Amino acid sequence: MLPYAPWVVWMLPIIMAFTHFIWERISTKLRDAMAVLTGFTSAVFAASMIPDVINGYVIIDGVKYPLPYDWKLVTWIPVPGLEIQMGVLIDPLSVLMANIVAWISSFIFLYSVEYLKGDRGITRYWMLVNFFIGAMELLVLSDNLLAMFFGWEGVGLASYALIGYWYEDKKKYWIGPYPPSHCGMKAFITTRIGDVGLLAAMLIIFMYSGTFNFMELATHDSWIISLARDGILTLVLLLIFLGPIGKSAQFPLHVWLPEAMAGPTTVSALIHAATMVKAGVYFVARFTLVLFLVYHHAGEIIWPSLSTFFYTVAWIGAFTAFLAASMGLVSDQIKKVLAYSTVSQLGYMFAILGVAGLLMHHAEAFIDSFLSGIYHLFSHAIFKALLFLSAGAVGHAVESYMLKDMGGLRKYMPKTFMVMMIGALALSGVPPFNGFWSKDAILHALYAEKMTALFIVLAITAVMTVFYTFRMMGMAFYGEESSHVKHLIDEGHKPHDPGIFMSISLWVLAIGAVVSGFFLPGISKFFIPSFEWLGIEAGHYAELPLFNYMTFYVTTLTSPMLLVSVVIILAGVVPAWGFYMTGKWNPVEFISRNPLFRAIWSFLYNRWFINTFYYAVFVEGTVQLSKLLFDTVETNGGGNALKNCYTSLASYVRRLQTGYLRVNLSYIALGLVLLFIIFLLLG
Amino acid sequence: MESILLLTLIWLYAGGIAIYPIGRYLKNKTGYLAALVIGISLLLYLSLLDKVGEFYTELYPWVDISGFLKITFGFGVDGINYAVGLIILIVTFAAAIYSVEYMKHEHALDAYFSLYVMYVGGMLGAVLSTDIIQFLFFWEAMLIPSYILIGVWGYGEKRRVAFKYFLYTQLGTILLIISFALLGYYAGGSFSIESLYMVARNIPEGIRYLLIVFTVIGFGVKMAIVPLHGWLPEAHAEAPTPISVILSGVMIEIGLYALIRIVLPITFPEWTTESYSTVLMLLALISMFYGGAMALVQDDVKRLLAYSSISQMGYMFFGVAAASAIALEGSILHIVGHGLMKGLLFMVAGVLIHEIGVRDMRKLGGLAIKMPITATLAVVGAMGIAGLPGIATFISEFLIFSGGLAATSHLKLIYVIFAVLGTALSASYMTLFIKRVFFGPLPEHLKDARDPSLVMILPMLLMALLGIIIGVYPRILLDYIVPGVEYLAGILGW
Repeated sequence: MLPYAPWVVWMLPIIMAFTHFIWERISTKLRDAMAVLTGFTSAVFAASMIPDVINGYVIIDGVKYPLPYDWKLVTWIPVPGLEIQMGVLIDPLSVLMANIVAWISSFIFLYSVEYLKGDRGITRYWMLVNFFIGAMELLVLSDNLLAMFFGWEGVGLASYALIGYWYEDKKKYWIGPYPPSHCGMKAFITTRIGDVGLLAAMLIIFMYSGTFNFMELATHDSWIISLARDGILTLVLLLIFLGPIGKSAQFPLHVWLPEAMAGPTTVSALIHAATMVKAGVYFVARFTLVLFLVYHHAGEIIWPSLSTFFYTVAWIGAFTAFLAASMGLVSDQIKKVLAYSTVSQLGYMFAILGVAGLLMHHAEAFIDSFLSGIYHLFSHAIFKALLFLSAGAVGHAVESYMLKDMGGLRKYMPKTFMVMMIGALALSGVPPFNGFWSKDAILHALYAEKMTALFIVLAITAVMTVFYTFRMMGMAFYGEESSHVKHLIDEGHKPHDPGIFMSISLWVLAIGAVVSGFFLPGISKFFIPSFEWLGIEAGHYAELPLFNYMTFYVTTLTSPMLLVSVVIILAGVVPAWGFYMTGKWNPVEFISRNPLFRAIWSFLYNRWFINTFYYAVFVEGTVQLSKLLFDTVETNGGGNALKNCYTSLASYVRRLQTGYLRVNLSYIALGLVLLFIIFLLLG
Repeated sequence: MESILLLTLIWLYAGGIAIYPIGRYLKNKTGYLAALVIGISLLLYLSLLDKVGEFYTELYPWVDISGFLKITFGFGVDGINYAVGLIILIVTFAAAIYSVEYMKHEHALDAYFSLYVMYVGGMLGAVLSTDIIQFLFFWEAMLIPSYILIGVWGYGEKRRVAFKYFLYTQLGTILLIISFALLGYYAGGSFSIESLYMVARNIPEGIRYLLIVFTVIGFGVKMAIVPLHGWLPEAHAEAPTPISVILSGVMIEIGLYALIRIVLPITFPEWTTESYSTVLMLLALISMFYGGAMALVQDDVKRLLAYSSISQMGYMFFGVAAASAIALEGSILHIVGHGLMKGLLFMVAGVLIHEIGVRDMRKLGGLAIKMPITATLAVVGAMGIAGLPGIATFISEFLIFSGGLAATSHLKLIYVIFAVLGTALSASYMTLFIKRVFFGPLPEHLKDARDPSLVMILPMLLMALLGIIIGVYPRILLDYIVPGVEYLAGILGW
């Protein structure tokens, strides 16, 4: 490990974020170089932690510490009863996440150099994305909930500002019915509602446990037993899950992610596909590890709440996977298809992590499903970043993200087509690309553990995934050129493959999507320190296929699940092939002929009317209620209450002030009599 | 005995008086002199930094009719009021510099700055007082200059608004005078804040309930706790912007400070009981949501910020009502954080008024492209009000919520969850504000807008940076606030 690596990883980008306006003064090239360099430096520091995890220990100041190691540096909040120390946690999960974030973001930075060339706000862009990775690394490396929450909100802020990057709301940057600034605001507020739950839950946990530290939470169990005794454990766990629901765009807070596509494509790739939206998954994974240990200390008293929690996680995940995939079937923009796909794939990860939690009794089954979730997180980060960046290249070339403005691009952008096809195949789960291995691992785990209902939902979702992926590919790259493309060619703007910087990033990610599938058992081994910390002897699971290169690939390719996978792929590809790639059948005719299909199409196209419903009830509801209060209470009554009080009182009192001498004299007489009586009474 | 605090106060008042004749020659540069006066008093005040821990006090005999009335004139600092005094001086210092440019074209600047500095003196005096009669003296001494400042240099129906402000506050003060007289009666003619909690034990229960009601209403008017908030939206919106900065940023918080310093010790046995605490917390919750909801539907920039202040005061009141040391620490830190962030936002609103003369959000938009610096600072301020980590207000809100949970009662738990939910409302109206003013297409009539001159930018930058520094490393202040609160909490038995 390089000195102070986990600290440098998150601090360096945050510090560098605020220097770009200085570099800009010297030269814009220097500024771009510094920003990209920051990403890669951070990535190298992150990578330097990998050997330590493989060894299973870290050496700090000559002392050897076993993993997971909680490296505390300073006291941050000194309040008695609320002392919080700033620290980083070095364990397989955090190091893996740190590396995914740092490396993918670095290549996306490289891509951005070319992609955003000539844009007016690049300094702001670099500042925000550098700040973003700093905050994201803090989120994954932090050893306590509170510092994690700092990172959590930091990435939210960066996301908000980057979605609204083109804040002038020029029509060409609109994606759907809302201007970019509105989309940023929507993302911020929606995720904020989830964060409210997370923050409340954090505080409650703190009040019961006296700590925010993950390690301390895991090794003490009295807090969770007291929570269970007070009957609020289920509530707390569900509140905590609200945070990941918001951040990772799960139902019912999924509505912001499609709108988040209003930002530059690099931002969509970095924040809304590869990294930030994984924060929720990361947190659930981290918390599952904590709960695993706590459960084995505290025992059955907490199980009812735990099982409710994990069932909720699993089913929210599965339902979201289905919901989002169904919306992706009819989406008319290339980035929105990918956004729905992201939501859907995140659903897979939640589903399998929920299942892992439910299987806490059986260490091997737990490890099996937990690792499947991590695999998918890993491979999805790569192939989804690849897909977004390719889509960015396409959009860059044809100056539109509408699928109807594309078509026949295979001829003009062969290289882009090739890398995007690799991404599409990985997303569809076609062997040997990385998505196949990870998705297959998930389905396999579900099947092996007899989670039939979840298995069926996710298998159907997989069919839809294949269909919308190839529908997108077909509409963009196959068939006739659209009138928009023809128009561009006439004007001399023939669509073409991107230049060197963009291509390097695309190819690196494409190679990653092909190769990384063959390293999955390595990730399993990587996690051994964590599992040993959980108290599971390595002897128990080292025999699992997941931990062995040969057996993993052989069992995957020889199991009956392969057949299911093939059926899934065929069921998705065949209609997409017929409708969109060869153009044999006409999809518009097919839909419009049948009223039932028309209804389904409209239902899906309107996103199940969930978005509309939210706007009508929550947005309009709040605004109208406030307006009503303002008009009735505030302006008419409340605001003038005191004035009315004074004036009405005065209107009575003034009647006594007649000004007649005789009346005044009688007041004087009355007063004297009263005084006299008082003196008499007091004696 | 050293007399640094007395010297600071005398310096402020002497400066305030001297500015009036000198200001005639300085004309529109008078503001620099005012800033200098406040700046020097800030330095004097900062020189006490190492004495905060030892409860530094200065006492001077004032009125002493033996056996009947004993009023001392004294100043003291502990962690609690040192932080509040510090924020008063910092915000007023920044707003004074800001005023130079902002008020450039106004008339009678000599009188404006003279009153301005005396206003600062009144606030600082109130916060440092060790005696409730002395407190009342300064309490009025800050009301009168602010009344004139709003009435003369304000906007819109400034006379009516200032009068309304005066009437409301005066109503509260009457209740305070009654309560203080009762306190003095039971204390045998002494009014020292230090001895209040001893006195409290001699007060019959019924009277003490009366005291809670009277003082909470009395200070509640200043704090604009709903439904006593009627004066605030108009006064804060129509005051000249530097005065809005002070009104919203520090003055209303002095009501809260007085609640902590004066009301808590005399009412602590009841205050701490579940039923009282929860009733007050409910009041605070109503303020939070009512203020937030009103802010959501405003079209006027300054009115939005004014309603947001009502909502934020709800948070601070919530922290005090929660009856726990941690929440109290949070409330005091929130005074600082909110003072900086709300001050910053009012300054942003002032930039809009000064540079383009528009404060109606329906006519604004897209200004980020023309005013990048202002827009960035506005985002910092907005995020501060929304309670985003990295800014002082997050730490303070966090402490308030944690403290609210310390009692682990189920009702409080529900309240705290609602209070946390309130931050989502804050985030909504603040992001809406940013979007409506700075994002979107630029209207034709704003084509010539640009960032203001450095004289206006620098004070805003100062506020923003301080907010971030405290947010990242809260120990800068917490190391002082915590011992003060712990001492008070020890007396209260929390």
